[in-house]
Amino acid sequence: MKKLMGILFRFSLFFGVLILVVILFLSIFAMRTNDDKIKLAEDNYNQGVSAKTIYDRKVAFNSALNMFLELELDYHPEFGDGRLYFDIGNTYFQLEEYPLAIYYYSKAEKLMPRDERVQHNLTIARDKLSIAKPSSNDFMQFFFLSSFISLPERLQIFFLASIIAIFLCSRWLWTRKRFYRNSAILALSVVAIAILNVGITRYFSPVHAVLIHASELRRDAGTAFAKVGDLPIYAGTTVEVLETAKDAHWLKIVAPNGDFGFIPQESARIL
Amino acid sequence: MFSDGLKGLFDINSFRLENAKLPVDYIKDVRISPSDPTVLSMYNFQIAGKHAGLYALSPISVRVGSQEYKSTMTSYSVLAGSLAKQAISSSPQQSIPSSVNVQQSTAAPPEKPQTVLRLDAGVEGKTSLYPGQRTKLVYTYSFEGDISLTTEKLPLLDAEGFIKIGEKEITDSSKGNVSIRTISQVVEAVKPGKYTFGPSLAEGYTYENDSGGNPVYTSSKLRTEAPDIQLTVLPFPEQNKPLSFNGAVGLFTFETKLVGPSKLEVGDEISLSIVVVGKGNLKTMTLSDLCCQPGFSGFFKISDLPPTEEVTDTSKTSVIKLRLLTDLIKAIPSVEFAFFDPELSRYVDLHSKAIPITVTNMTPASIAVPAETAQRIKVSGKTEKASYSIAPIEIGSIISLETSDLYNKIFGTWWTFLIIPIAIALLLFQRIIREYLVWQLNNIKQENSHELYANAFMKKNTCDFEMLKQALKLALVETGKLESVLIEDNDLPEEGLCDDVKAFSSMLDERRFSGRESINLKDVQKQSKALIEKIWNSRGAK
Repeated sequence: MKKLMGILFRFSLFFGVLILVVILFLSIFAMRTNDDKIKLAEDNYNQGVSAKTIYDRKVAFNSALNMFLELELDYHPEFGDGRLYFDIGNTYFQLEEYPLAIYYYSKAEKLMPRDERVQHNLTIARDKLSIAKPSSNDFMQFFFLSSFISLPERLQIFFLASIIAIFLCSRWLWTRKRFYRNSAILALSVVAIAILNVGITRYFSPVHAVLIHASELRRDAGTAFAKVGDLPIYAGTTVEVLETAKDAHWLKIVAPNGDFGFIPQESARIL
Repeated sequence: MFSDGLKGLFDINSFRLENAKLPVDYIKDVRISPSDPTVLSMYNFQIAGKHAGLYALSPISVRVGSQEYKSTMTSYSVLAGSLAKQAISSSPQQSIPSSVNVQQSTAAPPEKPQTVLRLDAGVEGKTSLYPGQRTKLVYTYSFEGDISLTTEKLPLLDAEGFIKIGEKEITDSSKGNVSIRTISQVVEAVKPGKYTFGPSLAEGYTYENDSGGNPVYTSSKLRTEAPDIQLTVLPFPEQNKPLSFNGAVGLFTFETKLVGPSKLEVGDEISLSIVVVGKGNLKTMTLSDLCCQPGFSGFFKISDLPPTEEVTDTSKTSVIKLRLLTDLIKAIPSVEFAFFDPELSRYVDLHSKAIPITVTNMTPASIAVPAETAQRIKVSGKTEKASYSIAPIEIGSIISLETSDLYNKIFGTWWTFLIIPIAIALLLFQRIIREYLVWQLNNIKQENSHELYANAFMKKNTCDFEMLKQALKLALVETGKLESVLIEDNDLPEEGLCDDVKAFSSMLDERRFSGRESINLKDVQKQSKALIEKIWNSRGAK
């Protein structure tokens, strides 16, 4: 009987590990499928860099951009490593479409928070449009580690801690040893912190958007309503989105100067 | 009247004048100084009206506790006055009674009180508006003499839900003895709906300055109230609403002009001036986006920046920058501008004339070259257009992509949260299995360690080693040194007899499975017997 219990435990363990291995294997196998567009896009980009005329440069960068955007459309790597977004941002930058470059750099920044290249290029793009870096809540960034660890990485930490916790809990369940119980409690604490972190990020952290066209801030959702302030919000500005209105055609936002108002949805892209 | 700490003993009904009870109204308390407990309490009273002339006021007495205090006799004069001049309103609550402190107000008989404060609220203009239309909200104070207001609620001036245009305007005038102050505010309707402002309210006292310049209140509290004012902001009708309507309300005309030459090249930037003339919400209205108008999309690239605007009282000029994208363009298309005429409650759709232009193609070398990058160099003292320089690359290269960069990170998406129900299910499953096995174990006929040990050596020249180890652990359980026989050999506590059993089991396994040495059954039997007897003998001892 005791042997049977041991076999069952080992079977559970083996079964769990097998599932993980299968998932990993399938994922890696899927990623091995090569996409020729990557090479084409990179070749076009490099042609743009080495072009001798503005015309050639524009043609090459536009071709590269089309390829990169197709890749984005095909794969949607919103929980990826952000490298594609960085490359798209660079291509828009070369085409002097700075608001869109800022938008893609901001997306890359969320996925590559420790990468200095993203920060550097983002600063240059903002300088081009004379836009100040948006103020950030340092405490929140520190508390949620968003300046150090991207959301996908935090989800991975959560997953790893969960696997360890499952193993330790199973072990404790069968052996009742104090060591496994204490270790399981420790692992579960890490899991709880990770859930809290990503949960608050998902549901409570502010949503931001980057304006890709300059837009007037209005008192309500419609062009019939009065403007808030004399100056428009310039393209490339990062704003906080509070809600959407009129079937998502208008966004209620907080401008960098603290003014509340509405802008047309097509003027901004949500990060 | 002074009362120093005796206010609690003071009876307001004890005022008497010429042996008759004198009704008084309390006005206010004034402390002489923060450190002085003395308080000056002010009361107001009325006496019957008299003809013009000089009169003596008899002493007035009042009781404080058990003691009675009296004022000295004083004189007062009643001046001749015109009732007709002073009458403003017949509202009794807006009248002020005569008072010993108010010299000019006692000519009228008491049954005909005079009006000295009145507040009127109104709208100069329409009360039904469309968004973008303006109207003027007005308050009028009519009053006589100096009045100190203590309460003032003027919701029209806040005009919540409307945009205030300019500052509020205050004008003062007079009509006979009555002073009139008009306060007005122009507002613009924003959002459709019904808006109610009011009631408006003002309260205060008339006063005069004494010889020392200090105000002396000369009336009981005056109160005036103006009824609610309702404004209605109508929604724009949806029927026949032009696509180009963007909130312009009024009566307008408009035209478009090309600022600059009409012969152009592909890629050139042109400025299109749109001038709207008329009366309406010129300042707040916006033109319809050109990109959405027929003939612009695909032919012109419209600047991201909003148009520059210049607004006067009667016109608004917007200058929009466009870049020519093709040489197929023959004219700047007709621009549509729609506005709402509130007088006729209908939309008016205007179209400008198309502006013919000539667009030629250009050489590839000059495509998309910003004007500022065109360099002029001086050659032999002459300035000429030499060449366009290509701007240097300002940022680092792209990151070389791997296929894995196109995918979401493994276990880095929200799907990862599925691990929670899976984990719970897995742990519950293990727990149920374990409980079942334990239950089954408890239901099997239990042998004691003596029987189990004997069974292990039951067959001649052989030994059931697993049974032997089980017998040792069962002996440990029976003597209270081990919790369960289910504990693995390796997990046995490393103390006392448990440690001895663990060492023995380990030695046994090593000999059995290493193949380096054979097992002497006699030795095993001897050692195990010694060990199990040691365990049995320790029964009861920890």
